[in-house]
Amino acid sequence: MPLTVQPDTSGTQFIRVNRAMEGDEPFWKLAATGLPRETTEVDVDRLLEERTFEMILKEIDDRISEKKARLEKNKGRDLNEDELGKLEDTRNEEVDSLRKILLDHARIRDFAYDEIVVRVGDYGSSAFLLLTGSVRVLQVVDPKKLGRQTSRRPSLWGAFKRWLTRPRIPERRSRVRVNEADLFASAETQVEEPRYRDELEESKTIVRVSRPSASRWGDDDALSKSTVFRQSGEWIGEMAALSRHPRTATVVADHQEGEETTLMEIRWQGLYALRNRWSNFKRQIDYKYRERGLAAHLQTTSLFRHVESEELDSGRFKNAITFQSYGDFDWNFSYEEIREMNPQERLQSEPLIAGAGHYPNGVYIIRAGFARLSHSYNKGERTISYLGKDKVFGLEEAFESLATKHPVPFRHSLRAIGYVDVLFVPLWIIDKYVFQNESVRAELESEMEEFEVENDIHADGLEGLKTDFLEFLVENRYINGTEAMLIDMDRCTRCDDCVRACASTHDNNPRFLRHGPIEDRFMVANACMHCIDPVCLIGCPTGAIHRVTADGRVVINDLTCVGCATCANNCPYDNIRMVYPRDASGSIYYGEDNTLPIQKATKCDLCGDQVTGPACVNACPHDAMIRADMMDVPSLVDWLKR
Amino acid sequence: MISFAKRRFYASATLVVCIALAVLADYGLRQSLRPAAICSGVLLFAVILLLACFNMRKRLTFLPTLSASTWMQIHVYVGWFSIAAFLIHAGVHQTQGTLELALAILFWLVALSGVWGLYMTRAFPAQLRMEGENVIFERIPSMRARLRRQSEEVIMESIEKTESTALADIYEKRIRDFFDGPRDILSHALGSRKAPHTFLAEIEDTYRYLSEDERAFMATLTDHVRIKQNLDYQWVRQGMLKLWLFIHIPLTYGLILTAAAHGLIAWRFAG
Repeated sequence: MPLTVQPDTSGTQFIRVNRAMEGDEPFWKLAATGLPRETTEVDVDRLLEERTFEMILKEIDDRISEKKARLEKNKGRDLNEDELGKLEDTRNEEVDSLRKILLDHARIRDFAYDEIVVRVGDYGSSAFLLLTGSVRVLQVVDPKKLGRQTSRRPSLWGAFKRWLTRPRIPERRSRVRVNEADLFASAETQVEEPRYRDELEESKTIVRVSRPSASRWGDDDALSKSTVFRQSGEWIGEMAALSRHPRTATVVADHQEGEETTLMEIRWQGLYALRNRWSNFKRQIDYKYRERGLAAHLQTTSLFRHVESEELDSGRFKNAITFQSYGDFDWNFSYEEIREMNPQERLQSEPLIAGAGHYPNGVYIIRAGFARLSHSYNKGERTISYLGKDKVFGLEEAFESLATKHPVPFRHSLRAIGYVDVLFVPLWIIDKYVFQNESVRAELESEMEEFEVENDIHADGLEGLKTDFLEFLVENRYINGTEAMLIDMDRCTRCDDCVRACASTHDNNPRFLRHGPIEDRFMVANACMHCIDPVCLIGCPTGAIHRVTADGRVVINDLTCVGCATCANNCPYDNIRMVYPRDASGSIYYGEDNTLPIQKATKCDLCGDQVTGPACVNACPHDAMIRADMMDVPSLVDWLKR
Repeated sequence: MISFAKRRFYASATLVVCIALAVLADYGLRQSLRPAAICSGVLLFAVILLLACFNMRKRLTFLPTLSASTWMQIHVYVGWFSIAAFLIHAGVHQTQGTLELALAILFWLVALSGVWGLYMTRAFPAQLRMEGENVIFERIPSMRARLRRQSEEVIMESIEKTESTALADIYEKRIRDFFDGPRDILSHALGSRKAPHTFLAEIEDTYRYLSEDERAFMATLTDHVRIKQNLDYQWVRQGMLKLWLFIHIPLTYGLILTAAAHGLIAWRFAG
């Protein structure tokens, strides 16, 4: 729709919005709330006194000492002043780079009592380091208190009313932001516009207005199941930031009266820079993960479900398992570039986790992200399958090795698609906890696929997907989708009933395009796929785009969206559209601070407020469409082969 | 998930059973001297109303009343059943009176347009996919205009670079009209490739009169012609898929009104 910027009319409303800054700006400029507080050199000096950074400084000093010793040994004498000066310069450069990381990627934040630091279910793009005060980690919090939508049955009457009163003007909004009055209004006063009710409820927390209240988090279960961190130097939310997992707990500020809780927040770019440059920091973070998350995570996997949690929690077990990362964390930015490559180049760009022919001394468990399973075919690699979270690679070979007492090489290669976190479990653990447990071994053996693949590119892959379609899904990374819109072009009559149904359930605004790449006879349309790894969530300055904990949908809170387009730019599939809201007269809203029109991000919300579910699928008369979970390959194959 | 073949089998079997039951019921009613014509007429009218409901269902997207694809299946098979019901009710003999004639014509028009629509919705999508790039119907006029603009730019560039108007002359005489609007509509509608091939052959014949530089420009122009032919094909075929509903649905409303009038008259004058 072409944008016509209209002159100021009486119908135009002026709304002031804080626009997000460019990604290359220092983190402190992207203030979460209120005025930004600059991260100064003094702050950095203060941070370097923290144990975490002291360890990094020690590593730098150790490196310099080692270098000095090496040079002295080579030269057979003590270093002169010039040489010592050069070493000192090297040290200073290293320290300066540490300081620069902190200046660019960290910010200091003060939290009022009971204010939320991180919320369970949020996709964190930053981690926190406790500086002063204390924080309470709540494992159990009523979702309503967090302002999150709970699984609410939509009403037929509500859907009918919305359909009946759908505006004729495109993208009509009666409000485009949350007012202070809305935030403090009682539920009754908000009922005048029921369609905003849920978003207002969410907004109360999302805008993080601090309203101290002693009973806010509870007199209930929450406090009894919570942990308080009082020691400065404690990391919070680091694994969620590194692996793009949802936050596993809610953390609130919890200090004594008269005190303040101060935390350093560091965005994931900084966290990664620290982790990649200094092994002390990497060890520290990996240790935290082992301490806090590894046992719980392993117990959810098929391999260790039967093992007692005390056993999994033992140091011997935890220390044997290594945590490895492959690929580009910012894969969404290189996505277009990679798509343009030829298959060989593309394959080369995917880091090899384990190669066919290598002798395994353990198995790999995918912790996050996706990996491509392939084997060589002539001069290329033929994709056989793709593995997602908690899938195991190399188990069959490990079993064979243990059974025959001879090492059996990997039959296939495992490569990182985009970004992958894996856990490497050594063979002795597999032997002790899995192989020697006959019932578990039998169960796993029956689950294991027979890795005998016909050496024919036209044959179906392991999962029954045609090779070319499988390659298409993997190369375009559509495997990320849990609700990807697939259209069978041999059944689609291009009637656009799906588009009309979508529009009629979204106030006459369609939220997808019936357009997209086609492979074989299937189109992947430009509709939000509600991804497993929702990169669109990263960097949203207000948390307006988030995943609904109850059903996993990725939705946008229209009222708190500031229209910065970060999500739209992050989405590699181009499934988020920026629109210009209009008032009842059709005028475009403008920012009070400048003449630019206000924008809002929009996308498919999977018709969460409809009784029928996704209107698009429900409206297709020709059975041409499906919203497919790409990890549920059997169902996908069933649909493809109807 | 049930396969299409299985679904077709079960639905067809159900249809055959329903038709057989309807024939038997009608035979039984006639044998027992009951008002069989009224019964079959009411049944037929009810069936037609049910068929018409599909269009209403498509508009009321918020209603949790079965998916549109289930409605479509019901529509198709109940549609076949309605033909049987019509034959049971009216027989194959000649109709009497203008109203009955109009009603019969309307019914057969609706039924035939439905069958034609069913054929198109099953056959055209695959043809559209295989023919060329898939385009959104509403975007075709603007794509056509853009293609024409680009072709004219090629001509202007050729005049500039080759200092010859040969290509411009050919374009003016043979090609310009082609880019003005949709061409070979009948051929595309019938699925014939003769006219598009002939046109391309005519263009290729002109290559012999062009210099090497001009040929390069002509090759670009030929590509544009091919793209335009696909746009025309898509426009005609997608247009047909949309247009038939504009025949089928108004005729259905006409049929319902005429059938209601026929029912009232039959009820009023029933012995």
